[in-house]
Amino acid sequence: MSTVEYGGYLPPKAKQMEIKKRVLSFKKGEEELHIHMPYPAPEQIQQLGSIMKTSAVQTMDTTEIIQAVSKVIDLLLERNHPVRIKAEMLLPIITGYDAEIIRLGLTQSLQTFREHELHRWLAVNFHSLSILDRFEPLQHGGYTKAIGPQLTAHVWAGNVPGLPLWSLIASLLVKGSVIGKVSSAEPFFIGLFCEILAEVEPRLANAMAIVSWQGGDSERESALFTGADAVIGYGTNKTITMLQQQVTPPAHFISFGNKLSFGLVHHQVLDRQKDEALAKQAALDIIRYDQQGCFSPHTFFVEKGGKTSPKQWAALLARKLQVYEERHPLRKLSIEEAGERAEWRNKKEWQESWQLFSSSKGSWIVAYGKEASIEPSPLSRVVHVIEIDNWQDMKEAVRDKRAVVQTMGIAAPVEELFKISTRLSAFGITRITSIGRMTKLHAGWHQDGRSLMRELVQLVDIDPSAVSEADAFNSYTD
Amino acid sequence: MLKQKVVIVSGSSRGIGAAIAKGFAASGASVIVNYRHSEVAAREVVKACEKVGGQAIAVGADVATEEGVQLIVEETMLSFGRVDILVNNVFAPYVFDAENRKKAWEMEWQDYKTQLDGSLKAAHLLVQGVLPSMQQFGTGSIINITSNLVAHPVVPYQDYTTAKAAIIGYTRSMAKDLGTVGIRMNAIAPGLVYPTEATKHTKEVLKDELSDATPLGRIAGPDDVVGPVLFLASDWSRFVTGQTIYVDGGLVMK
Repeated sequence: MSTVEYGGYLPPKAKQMEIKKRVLSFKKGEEELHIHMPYPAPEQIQQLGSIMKTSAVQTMDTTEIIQAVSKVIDLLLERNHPVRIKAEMLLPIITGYDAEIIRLGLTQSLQTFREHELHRWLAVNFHSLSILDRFEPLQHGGYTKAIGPQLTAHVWAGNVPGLPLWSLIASLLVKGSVIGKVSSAEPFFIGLFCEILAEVEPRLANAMAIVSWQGGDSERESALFTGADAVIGYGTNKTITMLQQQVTPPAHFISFGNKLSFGLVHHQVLDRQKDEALAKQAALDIIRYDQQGCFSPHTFFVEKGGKTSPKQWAALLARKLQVYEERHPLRKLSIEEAGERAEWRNKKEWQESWQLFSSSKGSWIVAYGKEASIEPSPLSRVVHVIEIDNWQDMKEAVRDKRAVVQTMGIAAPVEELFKISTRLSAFGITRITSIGRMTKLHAGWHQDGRSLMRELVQLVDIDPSAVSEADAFNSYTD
Repeated sequence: MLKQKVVIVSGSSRGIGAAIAKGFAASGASVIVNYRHSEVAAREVVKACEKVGGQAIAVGADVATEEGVQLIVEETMLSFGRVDILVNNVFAPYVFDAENRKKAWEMEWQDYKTQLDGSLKAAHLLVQGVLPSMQQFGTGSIINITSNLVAHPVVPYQDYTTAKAAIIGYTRSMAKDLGTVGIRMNAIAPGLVYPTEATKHTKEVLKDELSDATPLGRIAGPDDVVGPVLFLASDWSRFVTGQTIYVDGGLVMK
């Protein structure tokens, strides 16, 4: 079956511009999908930027923006809503992920942007929710207002649906217009979101544009960056470097490059009651979007000394991955991915220090070894389980990885949890979760230890002296 | 072993029934794909059956009525001239909604009647409909789909489970009489099967609880039911009758 869809989003103001389309095609089994995406020429991108720079979003109150966004979220959480049904039907074809993984993942990520969560997100970043609307008093005197960029340019990457929502919503909440360039691997969902958002709140209609071109198109990318006050880039380190070269001051460049996450299982957790449940949670972190997130584990370090040995736990993890393979099969790998995986496997099989557990179809691989190191896995359900004497052994493994480590899933008693967290946070880890929650983000999380919303805004202070001096100038002053 | 056999699968446009129909087709059997309303889906199943090398026709008929059964049997005889295997898979439309189910004290006789009509009556009518052909050749295998809820009512869907329990009693007593004329009757009791039309809204938490309590660690998919059905349909099980096989990853052990 072959379906044609129109993706992306263009503001009503751009209707006269006659922007061309490019077609992105996807295939899963016998189903084919062709998505027509807006493909603006470089001069059209600049034009878009200049007409979008002033938009009604700047005149809206933060709470109004929150309400509009959360209304769309509520609609999309409703499983019988036609747009939700469409997303559930098309995203598996686009990304190759199992339909259930998409369904559960969508609900999970959309929940993070419900009204109360958006309030929390702002509260994590600012001392007052109205700080984007007006000057808010500071405790030590004076007043502060936060001003967001008028126009942000976003270059998204990867194929996890919903991830672009983070930077899109952050930019809208700080009252900026957004031009987003989607990843060709998942160009659809964010456009769909903008479409409904514009319907729900027409004042936002001219504040968003979702477009597409082949990544690395430097002509279009520099056109996009020319008019932007801030540029947010996602992707591999190579992509980030390339993007950065094209951003010229005064535009502010914010980037999220490749990261590597891992887990630790403390020996006290490994008894005959908990070992299996923990293996299940670890397997869930692995199968959710087939490890394509920066927060997905590449390695689990497992301490010796528990009732269940690290090797037995690796076997339990392998079994759970098999069970999930039957329930949520692995997406079809590209030829490059399959090649990389085969090469990785070959290498490991020649090294005597590794023992591999894998499915007969090769859809998942658990590599068990004893050398405490962190290396990237080829992903798509390939994970290392490394036996260590004590969590302190991990310090050596992460010592020179400061630039790349991100999330650490920990299963340990609470006292140990704090001890480990304190020690390892000094090595660049920026997020600690339980195992099974590594891939679940909460509103207001600090991606790579930073606050996107804070980085986007500029704080404007009214010094206490300005107010007290101004008091002298009032007509009613005695 | 199932080549050239003629199989009726009641309620086979979707879910478990569709998986069973395709399983038979892949083994070389000729399949009657029965549906009540979902004609488009039934045609898709027929196409899928043909693609894997079997023959198939779609017959729209409400098998809980005598006219419906007459129609399906006639169509089968016209197209294939005999019936070797019957799979009683149909049941009255039921939504497995644990959060909104009726509790024991809210049950009305009509609830039971609807479920009994949908499964036991349909099974009875279809069995009576195909017996003449099976008796003529002195052989036949009938497989009734029941549920592991009968043995382990994790969520006590009163009416549904009671009707499915009736199917087990029916299977045993029928097997005794039918054995004398060379016809076998058995039952398959799957656990929660996901995804199907009836279970697509089953909550994750229930699926997780069941998976955790199941030795094989997950809930069933429609395809898991196919193998045991093919086994009971074939001569591999020629000395098995009156039995109920649980297909639920070991959740119930009997």
